[in-house]
Amino acid sequence: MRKKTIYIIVIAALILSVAIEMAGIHGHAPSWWPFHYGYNIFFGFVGCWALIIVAKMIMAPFLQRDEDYYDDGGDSGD
Amino acid sequence: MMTGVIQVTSIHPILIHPGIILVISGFIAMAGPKILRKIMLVLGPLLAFLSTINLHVGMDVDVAFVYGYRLHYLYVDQLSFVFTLAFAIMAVVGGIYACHNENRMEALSCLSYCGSAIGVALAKDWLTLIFFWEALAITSLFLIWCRKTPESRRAGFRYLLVHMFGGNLLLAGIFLKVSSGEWFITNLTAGPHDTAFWLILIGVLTNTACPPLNAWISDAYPQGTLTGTIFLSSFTTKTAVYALIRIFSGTEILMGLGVLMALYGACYAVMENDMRKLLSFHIISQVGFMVAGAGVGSNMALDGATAHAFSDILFKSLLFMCVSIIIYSTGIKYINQLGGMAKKMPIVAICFFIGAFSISGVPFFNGFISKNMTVAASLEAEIHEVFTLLEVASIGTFLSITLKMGYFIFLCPYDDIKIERSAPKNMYAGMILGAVLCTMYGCIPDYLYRHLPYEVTYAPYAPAHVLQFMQMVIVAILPFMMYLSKMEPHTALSLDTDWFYRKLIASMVSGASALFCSLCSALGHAWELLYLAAMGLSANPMELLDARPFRKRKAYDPENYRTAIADPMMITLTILMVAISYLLATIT
Repeated sequence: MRKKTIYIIVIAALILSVAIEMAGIHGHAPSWWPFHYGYNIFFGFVGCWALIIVAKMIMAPFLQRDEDYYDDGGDSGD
Repeated sequence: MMTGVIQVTSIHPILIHPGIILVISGFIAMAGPKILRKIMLVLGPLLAFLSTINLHVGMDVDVAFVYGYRLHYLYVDQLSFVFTLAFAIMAVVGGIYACHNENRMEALSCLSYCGSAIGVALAKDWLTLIFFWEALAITSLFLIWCRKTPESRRAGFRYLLVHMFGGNLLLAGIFLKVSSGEWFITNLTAGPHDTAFWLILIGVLTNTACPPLNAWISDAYPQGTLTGTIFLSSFTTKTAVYALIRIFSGTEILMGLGVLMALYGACYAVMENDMRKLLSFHIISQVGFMVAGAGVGSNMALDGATAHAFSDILFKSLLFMCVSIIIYSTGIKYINQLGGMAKKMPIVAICFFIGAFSISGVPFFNGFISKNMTVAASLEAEIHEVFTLLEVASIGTFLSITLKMGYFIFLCPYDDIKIERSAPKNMYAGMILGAVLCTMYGCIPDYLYRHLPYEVTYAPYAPAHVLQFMQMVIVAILPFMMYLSKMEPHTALSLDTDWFYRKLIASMVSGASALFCSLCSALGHAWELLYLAAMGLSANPMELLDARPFRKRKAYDPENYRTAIADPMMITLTILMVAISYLLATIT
């Protein structure tokens, strides 16, 4: 499946979910969020994006080393 | 809980203890022939499960100990029952999955390990708890060593050292409690927050893999045997969660530690490439939800933590079973060396996605009915920071397991993987049973909720809950696709807190050793010079006195120093004269 198709399906599903929220089914949103709907989409996107940035672009360069860093040698699985 | 399936009144009480049934089964499996071993690996857990569903709340069986004390080794309340049930179910699933094993020691270790976990859950007094707690550490160690590689041996020693540290702290705390007259396990949250409190808390937290005492899990579990890791993933951390709920529920520090664990595990999992190591990081993350729930301490949070421990045992073991079959079949343990496995191993792919949806908390799978209850409890208690951060960790789970593992192992196009050998049918049977259980509990939450210790009404399938969750996981696909090339894992080692004892302390020890060696060497050299000088002088002390009448001869020779007879005569006469003069002077 091409990336573009995935984007279209995901965005369509999100639009549908917002429509359901606007129809009256909505969960928890903090007081600073100005709308009755869309908070979880915002939070999910930002949370996931932040995790990728923190783990892959901040933590990984600092923490990742070669596999033989501890001189324990590799292992070829079972 | 069922009653009356087996009438146990005529059996000795010790034989109805599910843990002891498992330990006895383990010894029979070890001592017996191969066919008996296979039978006992399934039959033992089945008997333990039947014994478990015959337990009833209020049972309290004890045995005489020293000085009139009694060990209460079979105490059943709602909390101990639900954990015992989870352990017994997992023993059945794991027993089926591992019953092709021919290794005697592994058969003994895995059954005794399950038995020890149940022993902890059913202990009423501190001594019984510490006995089974230590047995849990020892039996699990052999599941690592049974792989018999240099890496597993080294990882096993590190595992042993960390658990000796945690176990001894717990033992010291229990010693203080028992010596002050507190024989039975009680909740210590109300205080006093004395030495015993902190010793027991740190001892228990060591087994939950709470940072900074977390590295043993991602260090040792991936080095265990393929079947042993299934058991390892299910028992040690969950017995610790049980102990936290029983002893420390409502201790506020646990909220922060739980959130830290949930995020810590999620971030490391995003970086990881080794499949079993990645899942080990997710043990830390999921246990973080339970620790936070124990810290919140409300009835809903404790029920949520208990339910999530129950669910985690099932879905985490399912995920480990899936990756163990892949490793067994392909010999590959790294994500970046795999791909397109959905076509080659479709049953494993289906079971993996059931496990992945379960751990991510997707509706109709068991993680949804438990994880969301824990998270919702923090919102109900109006602890918004905990709620928000647990939600982020929840997204991290979906990102690293469902999206990252699911895509790079199963869905991305790649045809170069060869299936070297087919996994035994019993491994598939265990995995499918795990997948069925995850789905069953997810679809019919009441099967789990009716066993929970604190009667809380929670409706997981309220439309708002389902919609809220679905929005978060669907939108998480967007950043994953945006950063797809970044998300592709590569082989590297992520430094963890074990760096402190594997590198820093090791460097300090080798540095100190080198310093002392240099010091010894320098002292030795100085001593050598002194010694040589002394040798030279002692060869001819007359040299020192410079009494060398015949200088032409270097080495000592008495003839060189022989003097005239008149010298000693003169000395003797002089002494005699002095003595006589003294005597005369004294007399007069």
